[in-house]
Amino acid sequence: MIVISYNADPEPLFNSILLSKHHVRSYVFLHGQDAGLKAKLEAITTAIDSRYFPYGINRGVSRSWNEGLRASFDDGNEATLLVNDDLFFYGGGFDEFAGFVLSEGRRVPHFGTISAFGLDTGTAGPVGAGKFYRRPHWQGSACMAVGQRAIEAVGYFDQNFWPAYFEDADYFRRLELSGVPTLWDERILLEHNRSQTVRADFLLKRLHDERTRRNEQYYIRKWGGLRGWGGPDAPSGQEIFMHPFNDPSVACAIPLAAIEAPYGPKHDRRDLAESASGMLGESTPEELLSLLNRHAGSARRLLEWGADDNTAIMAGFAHTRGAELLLSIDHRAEYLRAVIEQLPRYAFLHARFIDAEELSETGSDIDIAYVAYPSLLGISFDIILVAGRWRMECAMLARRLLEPDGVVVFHDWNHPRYQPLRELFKVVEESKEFLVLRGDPANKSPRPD
Amino acid sequence: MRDFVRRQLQRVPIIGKTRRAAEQAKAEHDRALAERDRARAAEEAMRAERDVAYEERDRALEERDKALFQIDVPYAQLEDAAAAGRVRMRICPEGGLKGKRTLVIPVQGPIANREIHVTQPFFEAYCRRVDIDLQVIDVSPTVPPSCVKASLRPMVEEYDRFAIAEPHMIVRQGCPDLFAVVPEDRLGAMIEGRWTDRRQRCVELSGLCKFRTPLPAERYVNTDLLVMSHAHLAMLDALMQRPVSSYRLGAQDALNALLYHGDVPVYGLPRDFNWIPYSPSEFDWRWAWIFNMSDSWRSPPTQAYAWKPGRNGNSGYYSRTPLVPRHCRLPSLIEITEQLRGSAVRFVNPAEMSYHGLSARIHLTADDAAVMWWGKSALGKTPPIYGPYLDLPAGRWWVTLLAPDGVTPADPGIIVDVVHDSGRNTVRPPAPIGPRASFEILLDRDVTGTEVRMYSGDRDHTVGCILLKASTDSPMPGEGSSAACDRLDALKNRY
Repeated sequence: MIVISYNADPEPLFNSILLSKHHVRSYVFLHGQDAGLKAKLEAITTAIDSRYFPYGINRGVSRSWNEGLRASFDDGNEATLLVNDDLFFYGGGFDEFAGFVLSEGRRVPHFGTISAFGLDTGTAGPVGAGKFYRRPHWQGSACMAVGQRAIEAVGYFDQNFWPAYFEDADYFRRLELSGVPTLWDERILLEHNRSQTVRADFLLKRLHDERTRRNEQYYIRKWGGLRGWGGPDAPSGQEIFMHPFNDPSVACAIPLAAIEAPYGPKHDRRDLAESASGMLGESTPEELLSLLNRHAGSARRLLEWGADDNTAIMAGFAHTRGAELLLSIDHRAEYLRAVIEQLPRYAFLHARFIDAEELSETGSDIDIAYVAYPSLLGISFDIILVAGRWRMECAMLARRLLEPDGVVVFHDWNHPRYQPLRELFKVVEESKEFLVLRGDPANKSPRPD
Repeated sequence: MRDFVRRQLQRVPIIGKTRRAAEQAKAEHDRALAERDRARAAEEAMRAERDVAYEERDRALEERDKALFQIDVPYAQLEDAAAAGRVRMRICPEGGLKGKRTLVIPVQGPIANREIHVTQPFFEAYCRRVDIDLQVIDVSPTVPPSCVKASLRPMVEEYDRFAIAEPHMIVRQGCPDLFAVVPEDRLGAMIEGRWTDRRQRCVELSGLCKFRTPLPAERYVNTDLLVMSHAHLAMLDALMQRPVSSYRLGAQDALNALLYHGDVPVYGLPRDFNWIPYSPSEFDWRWAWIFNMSDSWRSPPTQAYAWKPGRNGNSGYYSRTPLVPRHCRLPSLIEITEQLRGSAVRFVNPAEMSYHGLSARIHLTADDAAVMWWGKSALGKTPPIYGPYLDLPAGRWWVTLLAPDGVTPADPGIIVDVVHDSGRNTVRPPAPIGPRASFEILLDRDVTGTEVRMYSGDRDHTVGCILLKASTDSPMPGEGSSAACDRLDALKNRY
């Protein structure tokens, strides 16, 4: 059984297979960073027959499924199941499904996949069960056995789908075109809290729309249309290409040797260069998140001048790191209110509206209240994002407010007037949108000229 | 022709009888409807009459209060009363007093007494973090409100610096050291006139104090949080002994008059150090280091008056009294503190609910807490209390009905249903709330206009507030460490 865990409580799933009469070996991949979940999975995987892959990075479902499939087939298991972490089997449900897979495997030895049916729960919203809410529904790859024949015919999952969604649709499309049978067990054996992973994680939810849009775009580019999701009996999808990218020279199969770049530079997505480390390219929020993950080891206190899309990333990052303070300053009251309204009520979050023209009464040597406000507090910060008004003034003050190992992240840096930054700080990394800076002990003040 | 047939048919004994009975029943029904309408109109008229009577009485009371306003305060008595202040709790990080700093919270009256139980842990955490003393002082009810702060003088006179805060304030984690923010030679306070209109109040105050130059609104401070030093002790003395006006001023006005009259240098604390939600849209603690519920409503109130029980000899009666925010403040304070601890909760206070007819209304308890009250009435199937029309995100929610303390479960026999979208969708049919006064609802999508509706039963009921708490999708984040360890041990044993 191959399970990818991100944030869902693994207990309901593992409890539901605990009393199985079958010998179950679990291949558990950890993609999330939650310390509590990690400890729980360690406890579970050491107590059962398992192989544990605690990556702690959102490396993509396809990547881990491919690795799990390879490992399972190498281990010579009788059947290999992909099972989502946000479902659990009813009493005896797992054994019923496993028995079905084994018997069907004998009846149709060349089967590609066998999917279960289950009750979809969670919500009826778009990030949820949708119209199948509280209805029995075909589970697709959420609970599915993958046969040897599928690997032989179409190979592995397409890692161009990242981090999740559409990789299963693509797999079914390739099986369909290759004439490999896909089977299903119509008994309702499990309950699936569909898309719970996304709903339960603010940061994932925030990035979900763009990530899904890009996957969707790639799917349409690959097949000429989207796939219908009604189930095996429902009308087929709108795909029109009979070959990937409508290119007869491209085969449906993705062999093991090609899983990292299945279709080459002509067709592979170019925005996934860093997907293995959990980042989508050509996206400012993802770029910021990636930089924070790389350079901000400690994130107890965060400050940002200028609220924007970045605020959600800063807040989500602060939440995952257990930060105690995120102070977000902006000079536009209504705009700041709108940004903050969209965020969860994190106890560490402080939003402050300060007019950009207001003068400070703090007695600080900087007389712009917008800039000087943090110095009033007597607090130092681990991460300071400069993305609003008075950027150079903010950067100057940031040097004083920065913890010794803290970083300043400067947005939209590529302008001649920001060149002096390089003299004030030590440049750690330049990305497309951001400059990551550390305090440079050698340069405490700017040059007089 | 048709009439002829009808007349003929009526002559047939059985048909005629049936038809007459039907006509009689219809007439009776119409009479009943007309009677009901007359009763309703009479009830409306009575209610209007009663409201007029109450308004007259309120005006009379207001005039009486204005008259009382002009009576000089007996200051000698105040000095005696000040001595009645009692230290309820003192936390001193390093033991000694001299040369140190303290935060003092005066507690006067039952409302403050309830609120300090909710907010005290936050004051304690703050004082421990910035290493200052905390004193919670019981102030005698005989001390006039304008002298409460002055009455704290004996508790602060040995300190170099001190701050006085009201019990309905919540200090958030990470709040900077107030004494580092405010210069020692100035009195730190939030200048209220910058954020809300205080011009009229300043004009009136200037008149009462006979100021030649009226107090400018941009100098009018909120006195719920004051940061002071030893130099301001004389000002406290003056507040007690040499009032600026011979009129009896409210606590905040008296202090403002004194500050202006004495030309005391004031340091304008940024608003986030004393964030008062002047409008319901500002009810968001994320804007604040120190959140001050003050006399603000959580959301626009549905009711202007409440009913307070009284006794006249052996008989009891209810008197109508204006409903003010502090009657309903406790649930909001609990809500904020719970949210700051990481819970997704919403506490609904009585002023947010709607009341049907005379059989349901807001009562005040003996210690001035607002409660929803409804009697065993003849309303039949109509819920006498309903609301508050909340927009809730999809997911599982616990709904709990609580007593006025915000903790004790309400009567398990109370019958409640939950609907949304103007009652079009029923989430929970009418049923008793059960022994823990709590039940779970499942919202399959984000919903608008969620109502909790309470029904009449075989006895009168009261509810202090309604708690809605989201059941988190993932139990992992925020799980207490000790609980997590216990569960891990159990896991290892189980597998």
